[in-house]
Amino acid sequence: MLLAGLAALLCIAPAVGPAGAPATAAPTASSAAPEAGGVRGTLVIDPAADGSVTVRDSQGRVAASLVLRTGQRAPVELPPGRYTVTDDFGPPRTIEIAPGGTVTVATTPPASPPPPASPPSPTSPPPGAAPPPSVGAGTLGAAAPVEPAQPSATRCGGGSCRRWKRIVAPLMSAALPGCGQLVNGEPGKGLGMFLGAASLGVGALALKLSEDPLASSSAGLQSTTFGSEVAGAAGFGMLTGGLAMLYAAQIMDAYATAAGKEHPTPFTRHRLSAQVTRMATIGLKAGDPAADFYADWSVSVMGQVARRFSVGLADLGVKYGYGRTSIQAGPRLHYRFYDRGRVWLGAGAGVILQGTIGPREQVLANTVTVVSRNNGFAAIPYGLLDVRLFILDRWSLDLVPRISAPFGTRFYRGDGALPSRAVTFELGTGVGVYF
Amino acid sequence: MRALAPTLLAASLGLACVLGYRGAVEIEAVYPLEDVDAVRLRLPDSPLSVLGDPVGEALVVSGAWYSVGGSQASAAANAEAGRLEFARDGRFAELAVIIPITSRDVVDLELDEVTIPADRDLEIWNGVGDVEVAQVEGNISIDLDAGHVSVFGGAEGIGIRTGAGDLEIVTTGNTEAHTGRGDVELVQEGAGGNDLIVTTESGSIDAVLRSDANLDLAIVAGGDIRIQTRTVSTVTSGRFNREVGNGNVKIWLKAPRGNVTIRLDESL
Repeated sequence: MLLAGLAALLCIAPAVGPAGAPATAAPTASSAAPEAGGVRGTLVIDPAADGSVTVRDSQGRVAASLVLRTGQRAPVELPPGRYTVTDDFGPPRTIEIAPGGTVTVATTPPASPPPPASPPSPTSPPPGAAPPPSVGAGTLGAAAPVEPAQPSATRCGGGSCRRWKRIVAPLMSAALPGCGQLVNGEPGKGLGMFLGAASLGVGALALKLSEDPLASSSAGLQSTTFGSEVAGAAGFGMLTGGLAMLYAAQIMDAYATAAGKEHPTPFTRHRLSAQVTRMATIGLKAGDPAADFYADWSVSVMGQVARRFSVGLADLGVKYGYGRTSIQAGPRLHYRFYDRGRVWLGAGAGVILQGTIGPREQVLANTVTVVSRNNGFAAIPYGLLDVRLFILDRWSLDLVPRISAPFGTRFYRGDGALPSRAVTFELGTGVGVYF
Repeated sequence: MRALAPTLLAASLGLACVLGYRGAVEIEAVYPLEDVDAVRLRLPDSPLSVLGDPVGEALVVSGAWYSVGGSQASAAANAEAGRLEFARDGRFAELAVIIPITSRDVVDLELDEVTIPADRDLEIWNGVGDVEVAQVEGNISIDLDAGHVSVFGGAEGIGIRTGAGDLEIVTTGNTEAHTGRGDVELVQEGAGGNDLIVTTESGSIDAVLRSDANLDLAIVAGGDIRIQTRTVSTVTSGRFNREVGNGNVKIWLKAPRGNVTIRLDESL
């Protein structure tokens, strides 16, 4: 249900990159096709950083939209006229294309401080090379050597780019894993996604169905079944966690391919982010079964208050148990210490505050009322690492190892509870979105 | 840096666990049952064995509280957090478990044996756990989420419901029983003539009668129906209905996914 919502969100989200550039990587058909009888000019994009570039004509219509990597120069043929070029990191700039002329435009590099000096790479300009011409000035009439544009500029997956695919592909993937990839003309990838999801789902279901509801009903099994219960719980946790991640990934992938976003540019300058996460662990239980799978689904809303540094309210959730209800939330601090390419690494710390309430009175023998304590409180401080893999500019798959120790009994859904001061190692899987 | 993410992932996969301790406290309690006709046991998930004592006049309980904790001390404290509460209302008494919410689900009760006077009525409300009742001749009522049930006695009548589990019933009393999943073995004792109304959603029923007089047979089976008595003999499937004599002994057995077998006690 949650991830179906994700698919819907993907569909309704504006197809924009980090700086508002359209996510499509293909020049529009009208501008790319040569005009009969007209002499065109050439605009050569020389990207100074990975990102998207949008070219609009004097009417504000998108003449071309490309996703480029550093150093991969891309020529675009355009009718003569005045155009506005927008990239991810700089302000819009205006250029003039003359008939038969060539204008080379270098995009703006990111504002972050340059990395330490490193040996020249094949994609970086050689030392001593002339600085790229300013965008506004351009190099009129100079026929600079160019590389062909990326295939993504004209193709979306195995088929042509169509706007409707951005809606249909992720919805199809949400309905049936792999279906969106078929829409995008990638049958092999779609089949792989489907088989992967089906294998994980069938495995988890088989493991659940193989549980004997009477396994814990016999006397004298106290703790003797611990090993097999740990193995079963771990298997179930890994299969369901993998399934959730694959399901989310293939929806995002369907959208990314349909939109031509083969190389996402994570939105580092977001102001707000939200994560839906399942923190899972295998824990001991009193009685039988002696061990169980503990899963804590929660939502976190974080604001990026300084570059790479976020604070917010995390671990929001409600847990319904037998005769009790728990509500939890807590503050979290988070710092992103690595954000190159599509992978982010970060670390955080926080505390979950969980309040639990249950019935205060119990009636015995139909008339005698027994009163017992009916509320509890637990504080659960924790530290975490996270790995975020971006498939879209604003959507990530998250893997979050976390260590915590509750002060007070920590309650989970159903009959799950971890005792006070029990050091807990959890593995979180989830999805993040950035605004 | 390329190797960092896979390394973190691999390391974290092995780290999803909880470190803790276990605790246990044995219990034994005696509750007098003078002037009490019926006793209800309302317990958490626990296997239970109840024995009727022909000369006893008290409810005797023995077992242990099991717990978990983040330290040995907290495990021990949790093991002592729960308590058994006994209450009476006229001729009715109830034994229940009271666990404060802060220790809920980190402590568990497992009773070894419960003894009650044999002539008292017995009512058991339990979660998951096998229940065995023997030598209790009052009315017996058992309601479980899941667990096998064995009853030897219950002359004043038996009512059983379990979500999943086999039933084994040897009685002279009228019996009404239901299991969501499991086989049923019914044996009439004494002179026979007691009603047997039994349903198993998934399983078979095997009934041994002491008398085949005045039967009202209403059998439903997904598989075979085999009846071998002096008055009725048949091998069929699906449904079988037959009245013998005045038909005042109900033998209504339903096993929509299993077989039903009825035979007469061979010792007769």
